[in-house]
Amino acid sequence: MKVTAERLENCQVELTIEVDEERVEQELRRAARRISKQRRIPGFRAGKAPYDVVLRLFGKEALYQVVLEDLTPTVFKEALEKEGIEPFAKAELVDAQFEPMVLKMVVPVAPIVELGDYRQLRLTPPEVTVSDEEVEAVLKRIQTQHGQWQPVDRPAQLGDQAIVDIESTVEGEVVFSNQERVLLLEAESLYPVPGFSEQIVGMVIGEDREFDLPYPDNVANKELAGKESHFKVHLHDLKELVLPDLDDDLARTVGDFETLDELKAQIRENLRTEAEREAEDRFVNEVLTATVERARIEFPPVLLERELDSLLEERDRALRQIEGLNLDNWLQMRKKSREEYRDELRPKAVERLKRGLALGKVVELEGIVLEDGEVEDQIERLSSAFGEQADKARDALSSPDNKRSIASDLLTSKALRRLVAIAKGEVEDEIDEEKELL
Amino acid sequence: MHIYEVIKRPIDTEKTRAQAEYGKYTFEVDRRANKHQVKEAVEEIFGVEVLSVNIINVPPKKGRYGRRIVTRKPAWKKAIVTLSPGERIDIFEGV
Repeated sequence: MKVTAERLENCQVELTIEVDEERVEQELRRAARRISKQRRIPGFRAGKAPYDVVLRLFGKEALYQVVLEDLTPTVFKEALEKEGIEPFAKAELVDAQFEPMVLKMVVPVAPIVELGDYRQLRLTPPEVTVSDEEVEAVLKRIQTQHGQWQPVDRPAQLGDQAIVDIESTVEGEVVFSNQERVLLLEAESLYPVPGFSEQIVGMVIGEDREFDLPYPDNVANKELAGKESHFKVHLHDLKELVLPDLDDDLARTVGDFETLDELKAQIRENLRTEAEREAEDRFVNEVLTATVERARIEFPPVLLERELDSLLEERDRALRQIEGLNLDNWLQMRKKSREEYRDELRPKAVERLKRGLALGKVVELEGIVLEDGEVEDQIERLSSAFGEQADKARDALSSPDNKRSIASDLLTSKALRRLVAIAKGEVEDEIDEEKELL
Repeated sequence: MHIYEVIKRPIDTEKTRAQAEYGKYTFEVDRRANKHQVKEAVEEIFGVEVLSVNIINVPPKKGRYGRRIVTRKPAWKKAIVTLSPGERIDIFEGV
């Protein structure tokens, strides 16, 4: 058996295997015997037909097909041993020739991850500040929430709440009429047509007004799209929003606060934690991106395909959270084929795969391990979120598969934390020192 | 009758292959042929010396699918030819 191995780009090896003739011959005869066992050949009991009869009846092609199926796995294994190649995933037979028998196989091998000088990576975490304006904005929102609608007797303004009868006529026909409809007058309001609210401005209670406005092109009822409508409007009632004063009283109604300042402090505190979390997420992201950028990562295409599979699966699961949706009909709505969507996801998959590989390497290089009981703790934490069904959830999570994925999640997040610590300069070069000691 | 009309085909089965080891070769022959004609034909075509010929008239066979449909296989004549010791022919090499 002659074997040549050629390293292709992206972590694949092409093996060219030439199988010895005697061996092929032997296999051919074995194959013939098997065929004669499986298929009825007139004049012979099962398995008793001689080689030349089988050959005549089924042809050499069929025999070679059988030989190929039989021989490929064993020959492949031998070739791998001979070349000392560790296959990472299933190899693919790309070409097969007979007489002489030459097999060409592409074997994916383990991805290469070189993180480079990731320990030298230093990034400054973003400053988190909460401006007075942001606090004021939240305060304003609280104020509006606690405002009260009170009747007013003056011409209508934007921001008012109006109770109106509406009648819309298109081409002489009444297309809809609405009695005592409550409308919030806002410039950007789309109901019933854009610009309607402005037309109401200036009306007083009891007044009737008529005006023409076109329906927008994207109106739900397609027959009306783009058509001019004649509106008749009668204003029944008008209310304005009266905001409460910003004082300690408001603070007391909002919650457990004594003074307005306490409320403000709490708002500021909330905004800060939120901003900090956001900043932390962004920073983690940045660190990871920088790490991947510094690294040299190569991977076999099968890995990418697997990543894509899991991306699609996740997408499907997310969509199924919504009643009646799944990936297939969602794609149908967007008039996209599964393949197109898969291609669209490709760059994202590459990115995610690289990050995953880099983190895996960090786990390895930093010697990150899980302490005893960490997985169990995590299961406990996750399942307690299910409340009454905690026991069920705990059982489900304790399956070996889930345990493994929880363990790997934990390792990954530990690696992430380590990377962040490195980037912040909080980690001494303890690893190097340890090595020196050894 | 011409000698090439006498012999129709060799019979290739497990049994005939086994008998061929002992110099006995089996053919389907024309139903009108007799032992002498078979002997002459085999000697002429394969260039061997024939010791003896045994002939069997294979009766027609009827089969049935269900109650109605009857299938028939025609009658034919089978000749087993014994060659002189040491002689052999390659009748199974394709037809």
